Amino acid sequence: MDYFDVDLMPSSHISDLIKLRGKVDEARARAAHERTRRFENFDQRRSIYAALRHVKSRSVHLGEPRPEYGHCTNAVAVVGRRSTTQGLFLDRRSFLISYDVTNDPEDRYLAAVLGAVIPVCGGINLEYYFSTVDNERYGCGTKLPHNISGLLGVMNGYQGDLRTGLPLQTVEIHEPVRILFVVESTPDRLIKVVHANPLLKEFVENRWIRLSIIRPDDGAIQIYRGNGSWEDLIGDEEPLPIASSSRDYYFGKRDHLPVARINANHLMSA
Amino acid sequence: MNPSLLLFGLLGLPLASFLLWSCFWLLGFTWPEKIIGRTVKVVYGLMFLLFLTLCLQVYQNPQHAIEIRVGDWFQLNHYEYPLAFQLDYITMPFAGLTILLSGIVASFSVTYLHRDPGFLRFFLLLLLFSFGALLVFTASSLDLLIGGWELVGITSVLLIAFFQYRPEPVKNALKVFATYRLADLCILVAVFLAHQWYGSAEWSRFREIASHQDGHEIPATMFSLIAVLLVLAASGKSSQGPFCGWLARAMEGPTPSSAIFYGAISVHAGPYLLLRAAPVIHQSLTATILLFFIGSTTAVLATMIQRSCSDAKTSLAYASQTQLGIIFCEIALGWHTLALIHVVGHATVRAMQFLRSPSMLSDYHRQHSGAGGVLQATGKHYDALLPVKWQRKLYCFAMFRGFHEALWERILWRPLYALIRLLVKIERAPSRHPMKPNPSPPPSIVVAE
Repeated sequence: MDYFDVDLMPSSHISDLIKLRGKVDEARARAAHERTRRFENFDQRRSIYAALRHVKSRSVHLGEPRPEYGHCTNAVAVVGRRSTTQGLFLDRRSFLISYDVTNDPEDRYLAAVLGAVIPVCGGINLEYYFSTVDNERYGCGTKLPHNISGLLGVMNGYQGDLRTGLPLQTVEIHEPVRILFVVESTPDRLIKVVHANPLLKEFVENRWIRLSIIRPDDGAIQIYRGNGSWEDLIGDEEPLPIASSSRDYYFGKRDHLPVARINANHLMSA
Repeated sequence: MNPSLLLFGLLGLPLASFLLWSCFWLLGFTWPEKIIGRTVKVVYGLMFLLFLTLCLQVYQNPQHAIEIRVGDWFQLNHYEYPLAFQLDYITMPFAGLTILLSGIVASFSVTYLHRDPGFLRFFLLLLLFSFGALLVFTASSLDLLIGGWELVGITSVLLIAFFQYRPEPVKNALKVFATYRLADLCILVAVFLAHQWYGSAEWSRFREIASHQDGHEIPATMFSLIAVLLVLAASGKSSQGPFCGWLARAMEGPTPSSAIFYGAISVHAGPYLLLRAAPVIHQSLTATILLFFIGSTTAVLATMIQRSCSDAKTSLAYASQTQLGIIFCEIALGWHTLALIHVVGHATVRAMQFLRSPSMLSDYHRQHSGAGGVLQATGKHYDALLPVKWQRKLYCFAMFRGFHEALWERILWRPLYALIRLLVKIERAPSRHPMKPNPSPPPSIVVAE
C-alpha cells in the first residue's frame, strides 16, 4: 500500500502515521489470510503475513489461472448503515453498500444507490450464475487452452468463436444462487423506488434478483415474494454461531460457512 | 564420473518416473497434486545436475565426441540394431535446452494446471516427451533416433488432444498425427536405404561416406535420395514446406505444452536431424537446393501470415515457422554453428513468449501505461517498405494463410476422400454377380445405405 505526500506530514503526527500504517498492514494481512482459505495450495497454518505475500505473488504469477476469485461465491448485497452488519462474519460473500436511511426521508439517495447497485451487483451475480450452470455455453470453459484474439477477447485454441462469460477457474467454487438484496427501508418506500425505475422494476419483478428489507426502526426482516406481497422472516435470524475471531471461525475449513457473530469485546482488547 | 552412467541416469530418470507413475495410475492409484509437482521438480533438478556434470566431461575434450556403446538390441543376418549414444557439441545444446525448458515448463504447469482433471496425465506425457527428446539428441544412429522421434510425435499429438471432451482438439490432433506419419515414413525409408547402401545408419558412417574415406565410389543418387528423404522428414517435424500449416493447428493443447513442443524442443528436432545428416545432404546438390527452397519459401510465407494474424498463439506458431525456415536455410548454406546458436536463441525466446501469451492483455496495458498513456503506432515496420499496391494484395494473401490449406484440400484431401468414398461404395454395393444363387441382397444393407 502506498501513501502519498508523506513528506508534507507535520512532524507532530508522524507517530500517528506509523501507528496507522501498522494497523492497516495488519488489516491487509488478516484479510489476505481470510482469502487464502479458498486457495487449496496455501497452507492455512502459515502466518497472516505469509498469506499476504502469497496473495500478492499469485496476483502477478504468469502461470496462475486463479489470481483471485473475484466476486465468486457472492450471494448477498446489504444496502444499509454499516452498523447493521457490524461484527458479522459474512464469509466474503456479500456486497456491502453504505446507505443511511435516517438521512434520506424522501428516498432520493435510495433511488440513486439502488439505480447503480442493482444493475451492477445483480449483473455480476447473473454472470457468475449462468457461467456456473452451463460453463461451456454461457461461460468460456477452462482457461488453459485460451488464445487471446485481437487483444479484445479469447477463443479456444486454433480457431473458433470468441468466448463470452467467465472461465471455469473463476466459477469453480461458486454456488449458483440469485443474489439476495437486503435494503434498510420499508416495503412501501422500497417498492415505490423500484417501480419508478423501469430497469430496477425488470430486475425485481421478473425475479432476476431476490429482494428483502430490514426495517430501520426494529430490525425486522421482510422478504419480497413478487406482485407486491411481502413475507415476514420468522425464527431464522438468531442465535448465530459466535466465534472469538474470524480466523478461529474459518480455520481449517474450505467450504462455504454460515454467517457468524464475531465477539467484539475480544477485538477491542486485541 | 563415468559418462555412460551419467547418460543412463539422464535418460532413466524421466523414463523410470513415467513408467512407475503410469503403472500405478493404470492400477487406479493417484497422488495429491503437491506430491506430483514436487517429484517432477526434483526429477528435472536432478537431470539438470547430471547434465552439467556431463557437460564438463564433453567440453574437456571438445574435439572428440563421447561414444557410449551398450551393444546391440538384436541382430538379424547382416542387420544389427545398435544401442549406441553419442555426446558432442551438437548434442549438448539440444539436450541442455530440453532439460532446462522442460523443467521450467513443468514448474510453470504445477500452478497452471492446478485442479485440472488431467494434471497427472499432463506430467506423464511431459516426462515421456523429455525421455523421447533426449533419446533423439543422444542417439548415435538413425535407428535409435526413430524411437525417440516417435515418442516426441505421439506425446505431442496426445497433448494437442489434451481436452478430449471437445471435438476440435481431437480433430486437429488427428490432422497433426497424419502429417507426422507422412514425415515419419520418409525417415523410415531413409533408414532402410542407409542400411542397404551405406551398411549402417550411424552418424559416423554418414561422415565417412561423405568424405569418401571408404575408398569405393558411391553414386550421387544414393546420397540424393536419402538426403531428400531426411530433408522431408525434418520438414514434417518442423512444419516446413509441404507440411507447413499443422503448427497452428497444434495450438489446441494447454499453453505450457504449446511452449515446450511448438516453441522450444519438438519443432527443433528437425534442424537437429539436418545437422546430423548434413554431411550426406551437402553431397547432394538436389537436397541442398531443396532444403534452401523449403526453408526460404516457408520463412517468407510464414512471416507474412504471422503479420496478419489476429490471435496470439497462431501468430506465435507462424513466427516460429519463420525462424525455423531461416534455420533451414542456414543449414543448407553450411553455416552449422550459426544454425546451432539460432536454435538455442529461438527456442528460449519462443518458449518464453508462449508462456507469456495468456498474460498478453495485461502486458499490453502495462506497457502502454508505463509509457504514460497509449503508445501511438509509428508506422515504421517492414510491411511499410512494400509498395502500397502490393500491401493490400499481400495482406489478403496472408489473411488466407497463403491459400496453402485450400491448395492441399484441393490437390490432396478432396481426391483422397473421393477415393475413399468410391471404395466404400464399391464395398457396400449390392453384388450383381450373375452366378450368385441368391441375387437379392440382405435388406439390412440397403437400409444402412
